[in-house]
Amino acid sequence: MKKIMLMLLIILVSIAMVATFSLTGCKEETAETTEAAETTAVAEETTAAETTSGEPIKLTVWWWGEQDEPGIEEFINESVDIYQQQNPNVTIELVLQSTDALISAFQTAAQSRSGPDIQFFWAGYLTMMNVFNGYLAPVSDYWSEEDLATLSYPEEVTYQGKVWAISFYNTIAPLIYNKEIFTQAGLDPNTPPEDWSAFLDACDKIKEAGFIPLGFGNKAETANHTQWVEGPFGGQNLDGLKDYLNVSVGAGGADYKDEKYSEWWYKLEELYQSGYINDDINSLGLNEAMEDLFATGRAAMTIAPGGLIRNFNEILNNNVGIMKVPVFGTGKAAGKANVWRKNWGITDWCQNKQEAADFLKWLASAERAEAFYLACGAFPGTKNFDASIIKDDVGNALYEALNYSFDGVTNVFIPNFVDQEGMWVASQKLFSGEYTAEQAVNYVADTFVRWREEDPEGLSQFQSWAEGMK
Amino acid sequence: MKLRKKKIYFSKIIEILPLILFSITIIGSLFFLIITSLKLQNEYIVNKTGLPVNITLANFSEVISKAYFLRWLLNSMIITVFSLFVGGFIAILLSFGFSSYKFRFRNNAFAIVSSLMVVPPIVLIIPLYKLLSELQMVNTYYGTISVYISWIIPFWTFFLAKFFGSINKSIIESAKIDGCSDIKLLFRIILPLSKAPIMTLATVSTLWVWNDLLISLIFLQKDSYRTLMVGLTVFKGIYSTNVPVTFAGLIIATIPMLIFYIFGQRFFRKGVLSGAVKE
Amino acid sequence: MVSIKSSLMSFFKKIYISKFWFFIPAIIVLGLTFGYSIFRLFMTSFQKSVSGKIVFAGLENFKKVLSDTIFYESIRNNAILIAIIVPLLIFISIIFSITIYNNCYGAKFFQVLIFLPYILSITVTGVLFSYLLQTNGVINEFLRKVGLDLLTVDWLGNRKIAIVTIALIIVWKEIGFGTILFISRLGTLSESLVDATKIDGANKWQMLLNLYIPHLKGIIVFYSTLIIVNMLSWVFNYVFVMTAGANNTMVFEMYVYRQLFFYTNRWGGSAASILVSLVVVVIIFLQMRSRIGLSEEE
Repeated sequence: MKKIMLMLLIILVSIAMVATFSLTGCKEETAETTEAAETTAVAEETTAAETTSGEPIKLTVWWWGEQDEPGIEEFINESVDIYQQQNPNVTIELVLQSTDALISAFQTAAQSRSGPDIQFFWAGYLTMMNVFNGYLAPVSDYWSEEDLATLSYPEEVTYQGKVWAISFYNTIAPLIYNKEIFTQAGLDPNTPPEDWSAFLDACDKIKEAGFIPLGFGNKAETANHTQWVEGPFGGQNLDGLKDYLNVSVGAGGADYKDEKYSEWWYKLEELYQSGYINDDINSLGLNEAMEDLFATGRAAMTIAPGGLIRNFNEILNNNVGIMKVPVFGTGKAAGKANVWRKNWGITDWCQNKQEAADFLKWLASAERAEAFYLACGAFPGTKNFDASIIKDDVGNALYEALNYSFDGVTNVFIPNFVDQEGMWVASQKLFSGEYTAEQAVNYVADTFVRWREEDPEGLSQFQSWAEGMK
Repeated sequence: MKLRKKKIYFSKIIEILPLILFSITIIGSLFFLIITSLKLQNEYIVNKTGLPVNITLANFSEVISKAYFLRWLLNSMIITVFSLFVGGFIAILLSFGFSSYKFRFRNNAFAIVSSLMVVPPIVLIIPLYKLLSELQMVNTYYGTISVYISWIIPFWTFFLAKFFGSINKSIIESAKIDGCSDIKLLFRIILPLSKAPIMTLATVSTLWVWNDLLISLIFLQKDSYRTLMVGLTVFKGIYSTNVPVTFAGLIIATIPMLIFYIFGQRFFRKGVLSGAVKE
Repeated sequence: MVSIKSSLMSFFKKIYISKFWFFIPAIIVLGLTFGYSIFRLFMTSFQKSVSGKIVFAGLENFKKVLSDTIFYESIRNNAILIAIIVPLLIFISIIFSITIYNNCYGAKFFQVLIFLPYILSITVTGVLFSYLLQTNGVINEFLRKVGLDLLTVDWLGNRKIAIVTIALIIVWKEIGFGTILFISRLGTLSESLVDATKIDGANKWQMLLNLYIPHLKGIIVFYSTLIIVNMLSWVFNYVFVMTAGANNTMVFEMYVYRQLFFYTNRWGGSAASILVSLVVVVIIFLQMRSRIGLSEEE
């Protein structure tokens, strides 16, 4: 026994030592960065040419997205290869982050002012909070006016007169419905309800026919799920995201309890009490609900992101339709669905900001935008994208929905704190019957007030952000 | 005689009832885990709990063919092995020091060191990151191993120091009389007697390091340096979790530990049989 | 007169062979990581950021943390977890280990099977169970089929019981280790003693109380310490995967995590960390001092 143990020990340790020495030879790596195996040839060319043209530059990119829209990884790997070939002095290192750790990994590194040169961010406040903390460098310092004009929605990331991030791609999350169920319930599958009373009527018929009208999952997970309804329903009386910023800071006496902001809670309550929403809403995860209820044909409607809609359409034999959000409100944002923009940011400690900006500009070119769409079916965030290459019905319907909802309202324009602690807690309590809509509204309103008191720093930043918005 | 046998038979069934129930939950869960990994994503969506209609190994091959899969496996092994051995070694030295050397602040020092083991890693993650990045040790094996070692040492020391101290004095005395140096004493006499607690501690620590996500995630940022667990969980999305692939990956990640357990079981039982922590 | 050289040499020899060296590696490692980090953390908890600059903030962060109900909720939850899990684990481990030790039917089989959950990573367990425990999920379906409708609840969604659910899952996963540990310890019971007790006509309960449990006492203490340490710091993974702290399941580590990464309120996170860690560490410290085994007969 002793001998065997000793031998095993020696074997393990020697494997480990050999491996360690061979893998951690030099800490500064220049050649061992790109991921795809096919690029070894390109890599050899690159290293050979490296010393001849310009100073060698390394860019580290931390990104996310493959989990969101499968196919992006291929696009990005290919893009990096091409770019490195065209710019032999540039080496780009890609690190795909996990969903749970995207923010924490960056925050940890950022606090030591080390980490990536280019970072991926989720929309709105999740991008801006880094601007407020001084982690990002303004894009508008490195892109020309023309370039900036290709950004799809720079308003979202404008602060103190500068633009701070570049849109990478956009996710549209419209309301979708099952045409088959509509037919069975006696509704016209080609004209989904457009206003609220028609919507309620449809729900009723669907329920009669034995299906769940609206399937949704609000279970506690790392991301707040209320956001999926917060935009389409919550923004109905608002004109744009500036309104949302205003209520966050209480500008001009804006109070969340005002019906302008909070009517939707009553609508949610209505849906819940009429039995138009699945009763296990608090125990189903977001995608679980989409899959278990909608994709299995038990629920007539749900809210789903573009990437999954194609899947569902396949599973349901092309019976998936995309509908506008039924309107009950009077604001410009009524009827618009969620659009979440995914952004690139250049970090403040990046040593080669202009080069980073150049890379990102190239990544947003028309050719790359087309490649992006073809790789994953999601929509790139640059105006250089030529929509005529979209050939399928679902794609076109999604693109239409995207454009229509572009300047709608989403949850990313209120502080994270209110989003998680306020909205989400309130929605869970509403759906468990613990809160009435009124209580939920009061709770959220109180959370806003709490935030303002506890985070004066954040408050002033939001105020500044709001003022800078059109 | 026959009647008596029947009675015993029945009560024996009753007595293993809790075990049976518990085993059912385990088998059920594992069964679910396995059949899920054998389905494709689209099938899983519509058939979550039933047997797979189309059994496929595609999920497993997808995981294994990920560019850095073998690297991740190797990384995990290197980090776990080194953390255990270096951390354990330092802890053994420290425990010996505490148990055999009386000095004025001994009790206080021991108490301080031991109480470090309850500090949750997350509490120190940001300052640790700052420290390691200033020392240029982020994204290195050394850096990550150091972090793991820092938690292994107090943990082991707490239990081992006590255990060393409880070893029969006469053995130690006679060894000293024979002119045994400290180091010899430690390695020739004390360690062999401590197989039991060391095996126990090693098991706990190995599983901890192997399965850990937080520390590896933060300190190993390059894809090629990631540990297996981290590499596999990268693909868990917000709403489009590909559960079958994730499960397939996690099954694969569990296999090394399974091997470790099967192999170590013999040691575990043999070693621990000589008595765990003495009273 | 003793030459300088020889006294120097004996001085070095003393250092060389002194026990001092046993402490050095640990001092270096722990001093750097814990020492430096705790110091840094301490400093940070007294700071805050105003318009991008770091200023001294006095006790402000601490006040904020102490007035946050969720902070208290998280501490309470850690306590609940310990209160439920420790007794359960010990109790069940004792029962299981004794049963197996007495070579019940399928003892070997059970012994191997029980340890399996312990090997699984927490992520697997978390994902697995959060799926199985949905309101209309597998477990509830099963309960309905066997007529136990009353028990079908929203295991992870119900604010009142979510934390209990998590506790049970942790027990499920950890029980294997405790059982094996106890079995091994029972294995050191001398056969003759056991036989003698049986011959004396002791029934199950008597054997339990007078033979098995006293023999297991040491390892029960060992194991309890182990579990408590785990529950204080490693619960994070479970909660993170299953509920992310919602539904009344916020635990301390999760709270710190949120503060640090979600609300860019790292100052609060630092303060909270210091507060609680300090309290816990001090408690343990005092415990150690008063009960330290090192000071036995020496």
